[in-house]
Amino acid sequence: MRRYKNAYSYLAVLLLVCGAAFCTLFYFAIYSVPLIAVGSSMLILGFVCLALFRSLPNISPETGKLLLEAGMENINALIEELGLRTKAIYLPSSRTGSGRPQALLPISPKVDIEDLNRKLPQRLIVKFGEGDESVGLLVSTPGSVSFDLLTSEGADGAEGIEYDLKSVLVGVLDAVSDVSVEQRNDMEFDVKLSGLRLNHSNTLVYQWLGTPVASVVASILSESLDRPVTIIEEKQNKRHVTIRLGVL
Amino acid sequence: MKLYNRYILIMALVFSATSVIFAVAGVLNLGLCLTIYVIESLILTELFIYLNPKARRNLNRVNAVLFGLFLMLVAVEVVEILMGIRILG
Repeated sequence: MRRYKNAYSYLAVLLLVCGAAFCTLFYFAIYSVPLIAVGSSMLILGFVCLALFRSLPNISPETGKLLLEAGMENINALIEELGLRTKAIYLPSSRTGSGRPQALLPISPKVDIEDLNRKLPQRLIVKFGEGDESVGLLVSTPGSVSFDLLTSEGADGAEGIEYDLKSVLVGVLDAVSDVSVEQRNDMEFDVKLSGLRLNHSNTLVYQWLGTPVASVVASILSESLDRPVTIIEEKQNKRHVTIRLGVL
Repeated sequence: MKLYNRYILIMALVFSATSVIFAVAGVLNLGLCLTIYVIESLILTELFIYLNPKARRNLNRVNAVLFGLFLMLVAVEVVEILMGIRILG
């Protein structure tokens, strides 16, 4: 991150110095309006670079990746140890005790959706229904944390979800270049991500929880609809990642 | 970072193209040139709606200064018209 910060600060200083020199020289020496205009445009660009330099994060993407992988490896160890083989159900913040969207990994694939209508306690192992098999792990995912990055509520429907996803994945996390959301029917959404820049290792946890970007997408969708969501399918080719999500 | 780079690159390209147009068209009004740069900068910032909130906050500060400059240029133009003198050339 320091190299990016340096690049922005050098560019800002260079543009401000050159812009000021251009304006002064061409105003007082030969009074050339187009050249004074070029100088003033350099000054504006310099101030913009300065503003962007001040908004860059202080930690590098490598540090962020390190922390993400450490967290995901811990969840992976838990899943392997407990022998969980079910897809995660992403719950909105209104149904978790932590006040953030979280993922529920049930021990049994048979989950009664009615059981998920109440708020689950803020615990790692939760009992969400009456049956003996209504037990699961309630874990925080990258999507849970990205919930804090949502700045405003977008419009309703696929457009609103697309706006929220773009503001988090493109604007704040800089993880993808573009996002498009298509609503197939009331219960299914297709999210297409272009220019993915977040690589991940092929571990078991991603099979059940989804990759980090899929987790962010599922959490935001769940939060926008205020309903549990599951990742049905995740397809990746060289240019796009397509995530199919089901609303429960 | 890619979004920031794209923002700066597009702004630099727009400013360069505008400067070329000014030179070719022989624009001699400095106030007009500055006003157009300021308006272009304000429009570009509004178009990049997915910039992160911290960057947007900082850019809004820059834009507030630019908007102040724009108002000042308008005031100068008004004074020039009313008093019949040239201040910015």
